[in-house]
Amino acid sequence: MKSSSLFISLAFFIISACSNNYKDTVDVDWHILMKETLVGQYGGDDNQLFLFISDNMCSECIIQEYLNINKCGMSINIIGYFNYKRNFVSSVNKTFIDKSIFIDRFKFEKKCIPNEFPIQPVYFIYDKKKMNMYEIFYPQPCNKESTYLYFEKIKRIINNSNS
Amino acid sequence: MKHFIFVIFCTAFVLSSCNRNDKNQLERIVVDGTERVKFSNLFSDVSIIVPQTNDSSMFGLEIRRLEMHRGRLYLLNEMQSGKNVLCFNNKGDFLYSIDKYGSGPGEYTYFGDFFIDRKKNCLIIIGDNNKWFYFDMDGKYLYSDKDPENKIRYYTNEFNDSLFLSYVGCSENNFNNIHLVNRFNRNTTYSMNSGPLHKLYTPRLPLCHSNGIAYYYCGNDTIYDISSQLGEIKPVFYFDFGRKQKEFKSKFVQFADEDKMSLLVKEFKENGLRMTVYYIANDDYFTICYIENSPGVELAIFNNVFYDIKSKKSYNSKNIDFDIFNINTRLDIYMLGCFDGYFYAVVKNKFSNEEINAIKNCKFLNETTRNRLMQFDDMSNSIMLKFR
Repeated sequence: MKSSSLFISLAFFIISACSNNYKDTVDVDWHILMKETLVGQYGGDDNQLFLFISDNMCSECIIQEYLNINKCGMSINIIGYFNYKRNFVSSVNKTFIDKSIFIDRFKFEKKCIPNEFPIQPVYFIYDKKKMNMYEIFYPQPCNKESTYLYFEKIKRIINNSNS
Repeated sequence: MKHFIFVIFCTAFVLSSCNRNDKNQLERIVVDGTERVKFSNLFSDVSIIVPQTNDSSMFGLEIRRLEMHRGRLYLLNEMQSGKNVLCFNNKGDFLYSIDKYGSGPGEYTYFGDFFIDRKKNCLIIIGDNNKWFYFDMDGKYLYSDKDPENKIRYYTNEFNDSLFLSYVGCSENNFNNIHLVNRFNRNTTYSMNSGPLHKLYTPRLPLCHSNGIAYYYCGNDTIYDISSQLGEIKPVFYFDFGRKQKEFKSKFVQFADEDKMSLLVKEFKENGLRMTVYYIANDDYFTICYIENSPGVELAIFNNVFYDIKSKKSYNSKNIDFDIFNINTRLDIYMLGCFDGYFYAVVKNKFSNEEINAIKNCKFLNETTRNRLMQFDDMSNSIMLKFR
């Protein structure tokens, strides 16, 4: 009897650990949310550049990054953390955004507490094979040059990974 | 001599009574009228437009305002990532958008406002570095030019054949100045130093025009006529928001400038202070929208007051039955402008499936609109109203 109850509780523990559903009132780190979302929803190429935006970021900050992306001719994917999907879809620039992934802020925050989520746009590369994100970059609005240098570096990384 | 003194006395009396601008002389419009009325009794000519939705025509956070020209609707769409212009025909079919953020030719890094120059038949976007970007009426970029006055304009609209109406706010010194700019580079500056909310709050569209009169309104209750090209500002009427608002105004003027903003926020959040958002008029109605914060409600509420010029009665949207939609829900409408006597508004409600089914059966729909409502969902653009 003891061993069967141990087995049931162990099985329950494994199932709950494998599940993507967060428990109530758990703090969830931004990195974890990004990885889990991309593992579940991204089906594109390896080592692609992503821009994270959300509806608590200022409009000027997002515009500035679009201008930077456009100026450097970058091809980019976008991941948006918004209350309403329509606000996200309407904010995606159609000319240079390859793929867009939506995270429903409203549904997410019903289940868990966002922990240290960025309040300004963030760039990163997602390695699909390793299911990992790297080259995370927080652009500074007053220092566009550092963003351009970052893009140069990213272009090299993506070219090397493709060759 | 006696006659002479009497004549001078009479003249002085007449002049002084003509110059009195206090509120007792102004037309008073009651905001909190309690009379219940059906929308269809106020406005008999109503059309419902459902703007087509696709990835390029999707409304963002808010539609700020509308221009109407040769049967087409031009909407100023504000998104999380800036602004664009969406163009639809009068059936709601999407035609094109102007979305040119960038640093190449014909591109801007800042979008202030747009207006239509009906004489030149072109659309002008007020961009960065006081530049105006000209587009033809099919959305094709033509050229860019410096602002005639080299000023940053927060809001510009065509007033009549020869005048633009602009709201300029480029520095602390002329924060509340208005420029009436005519096409021959003659302009008049109005210094808006009156009103308790001066330098603190400005409505999104502080200017409007109707029946050949240009109006200015700041965040409080008074509407000013600024049609004179001599820089004269004449208060013409005021919206009576009630006793609490009057008490706030008298308390407000006693505060030091640096404390006024925190007082304003506190009074708005906690004590029901009402702020004017826009004022729009046609031949029959003055309409004002005000925003108020109700305790326990997360979002502030927009209310519209329609003032019937002939009967001098006012109707608050709190007491209007929007019978035109066949539903009992109160409509949350946001006025976008007035053209050819018609008011245009966007309906901000999120409708349930049952409500959409009821709206489908209302009599103000044409076939295109009804078909579009068949596919209506969360991602669809908001319904628009055209009425007079």
